[in-house]
Amino acid sequence: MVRSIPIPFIALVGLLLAVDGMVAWLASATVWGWGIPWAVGTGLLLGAFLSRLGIRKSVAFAAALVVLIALCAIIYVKGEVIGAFKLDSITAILLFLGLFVGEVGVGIASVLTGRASAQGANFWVYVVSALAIAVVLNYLTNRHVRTTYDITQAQLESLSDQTLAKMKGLRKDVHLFAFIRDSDPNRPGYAEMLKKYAAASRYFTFEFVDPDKYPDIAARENINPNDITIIVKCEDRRELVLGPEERDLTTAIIKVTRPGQKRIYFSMWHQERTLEGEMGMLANLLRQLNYATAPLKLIDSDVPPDCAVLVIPGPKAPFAPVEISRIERYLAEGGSALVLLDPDSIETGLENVVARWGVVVHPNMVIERQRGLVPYAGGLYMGEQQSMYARAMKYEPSHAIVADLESKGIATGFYQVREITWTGANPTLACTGTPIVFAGSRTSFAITEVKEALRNPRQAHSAEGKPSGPFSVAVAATAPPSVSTGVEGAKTRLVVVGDADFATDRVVSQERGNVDFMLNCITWLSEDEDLITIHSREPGYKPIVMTASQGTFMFLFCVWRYPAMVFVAGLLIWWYRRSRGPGKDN
Amino acid sequence: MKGTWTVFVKELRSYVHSPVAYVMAFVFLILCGYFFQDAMNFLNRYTTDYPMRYQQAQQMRRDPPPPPNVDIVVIRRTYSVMAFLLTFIMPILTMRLYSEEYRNGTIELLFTSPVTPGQTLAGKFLASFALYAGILVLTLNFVVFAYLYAEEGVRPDTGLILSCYLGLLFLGASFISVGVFASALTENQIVAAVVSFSVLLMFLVIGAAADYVGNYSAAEFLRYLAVNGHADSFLRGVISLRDIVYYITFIGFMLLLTNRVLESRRWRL
Repeated sequence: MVRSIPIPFIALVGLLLAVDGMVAWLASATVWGWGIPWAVGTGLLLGAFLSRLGIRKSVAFAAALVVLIALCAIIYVKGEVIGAFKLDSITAILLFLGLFVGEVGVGIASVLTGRASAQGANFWVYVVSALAIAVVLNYLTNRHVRTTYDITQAQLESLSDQTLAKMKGLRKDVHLFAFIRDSDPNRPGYAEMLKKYAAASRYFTFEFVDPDKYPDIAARENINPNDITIIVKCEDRRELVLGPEERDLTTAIIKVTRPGQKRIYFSMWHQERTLEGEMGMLANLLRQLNYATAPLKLIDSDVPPDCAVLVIPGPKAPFAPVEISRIERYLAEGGSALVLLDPDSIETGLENVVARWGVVVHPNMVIERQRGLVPYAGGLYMGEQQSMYARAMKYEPSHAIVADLESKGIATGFYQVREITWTGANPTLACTGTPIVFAGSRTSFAITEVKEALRNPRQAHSAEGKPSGPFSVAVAATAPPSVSTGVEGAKTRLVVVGDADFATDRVVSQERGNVDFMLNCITWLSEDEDLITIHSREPGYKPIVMTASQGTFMFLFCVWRYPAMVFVAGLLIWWYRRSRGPGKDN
Repeated sequence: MKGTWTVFVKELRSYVHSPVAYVMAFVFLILCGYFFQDAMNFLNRYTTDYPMRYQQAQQMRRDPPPPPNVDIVVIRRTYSVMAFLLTFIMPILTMRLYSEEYRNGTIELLFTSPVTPGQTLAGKFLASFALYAGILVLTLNFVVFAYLYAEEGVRPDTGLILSCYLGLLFLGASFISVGVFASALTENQIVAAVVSFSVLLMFLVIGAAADYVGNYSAAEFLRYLAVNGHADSFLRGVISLRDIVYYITFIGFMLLLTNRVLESRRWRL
């Protein structure tokens, strides 16, 4: 053993150099930065191994030198030979392991059988070698094995089902750049989440870039070095990740891998809400989701063939017959439309259009009535209040648009909303539809004197004899196109909501669920179901309910009686042994 | 194997007959019991207040408060405290393993007996581990209470509880391997306990220091070195192969080191 000590040390130096090469490669150093130490290290390892096999040292190291020169030549000629690099690094580690088993393993075995000293084993050889093998094992596990099992029922530490499904379906290389400073306390959290993504698909890779260290990369990507910026790239496309949540990251991956850009048209000239005005926030979100938006004057032209979704956001004026016929033709040919109809709008003509898909637009308005803390004169007081603001907490759980809102208990809010119902299947169009959102509490009711109520918003209404809530305020319907378009699987998709205010900046900023609902409507209508809002897993309701006496019992038992029992048992055993005297316990 | 078993039985008997194990179990159970009942009472109060908090949040148009969750508030918190307490308990449980043999002079008998130092070491390590596992079994009363007072249909997560115990077993075994090593270094039990405690504290500090290191790779390296940090994923219900490999290599390395120390002492006798 002692006479062969230099060989393990040479091997160790070789290993360290090879590992250094690997680390440098991972840190995106130049090919010379990682290639040289790696090549030298591999050569040394090979020499050590050949020497161990009994070949003369001079021959062994001559062979190693040849390998070293050959590897350097390959690096020089081929540049970043990443595939070969990986292969040879693993070969180098295997060589070292073989050496370890041969050189040091024999020593360990002899230690375990008690004959170590007879062979004059060197303490430090064992320690350093054992440490080296521990380091290599840990390094390999970290680098190549990312197996984790979330064995909890709630799967709180796992990615959502939607994200996992998307990652499994990934067939293009997606690379993520996270521009975060090394010292940023948020970095470990991001790394933890990104590792989960990388574990879910081998097509997904990521790297952290400290903008202070690599200002050239930061400048090239046009990012602000003072902010955390995450960019996802796929082929020549690039997307900015908008936040730290799972939904932001998954959305960016979906966007960057999705071919083409879909166009959404917003009708105008009927006093609708405008994208530049009241719906600015929504327009911004749609752009972030890679949708193009454009206004549409139906009086001038047909619905364009590239229209993915036609949005009619709260018209206040009636549509001309030619416009109605154009909308009808668009829907009959398998188009998708989102129709938002406020209760204060007059007969727009759209009521009859949507009626053909089994959707009934009621001429009423939901009035919410609740008892509880109500704001008054700068304070909160108990009392009953009537309001035109109706919240929805109940959704159709089987429909893709609102399934997630239902399961997560996310509320949406509607200001001045009318009832929209579904009559049932229409035999001529073979429609299928369902009410998807139910707004208002059980004490809410619907009034038909809408104009008077809007003229005098403070007026109290009587609920006597009026239908009570919750009310269906949104309906989604689908039907095969009644006019053949030649597109296989084409379907008319229609969503009608009894309010347009819910998508305006004023209401959206109050109810976070409204953004999800509106975007889900658009993504469902444009057949981008995989873009439907993704929510990371959240802890559920798992309460503890104890009476005061149960709490006292638990306190006494856990903090005193139970430990005391263990203590008394120990005391008795100790006293028993002491009383018997030493040496009598057997 | 027979030699290991003999040492294991002898060591376990010494533990059972020694008041130290009972005193440590007593202190450990009292502290864990206190933190457990505190978490339970907190969650009970939070559960009572939750509807009002939820309603207030709705009226103020704020995000709803997080729902009461026994897994997060009680199970994770209690077992995290347990993992922390092990740093203080383990040195005392392991301090006598070799130090007592040195002080009593029985180490010579051990070295000259047919049982090899490796078998002795394995027997002592396993005996300490068995005692520690026994103490952990005594903490199952927390699980019983959490099940009893949880609502029907939303009982504590069994997977999380299993994962927590698995993590505590790995962490405890690592701490025992450090304790055995420290005990093999000196014949003074107090010194052994202090050395062992210092090493464990160093690992705690390393993990905490990682947050203040500017260089990310260095910080990750320090985080990886910290023994306690590897128990975190277990305490969240995630079993990771990298953590298992870390613990196995850590325990293996510490035991090998101890074995070398014993060999070295053996030939100095």
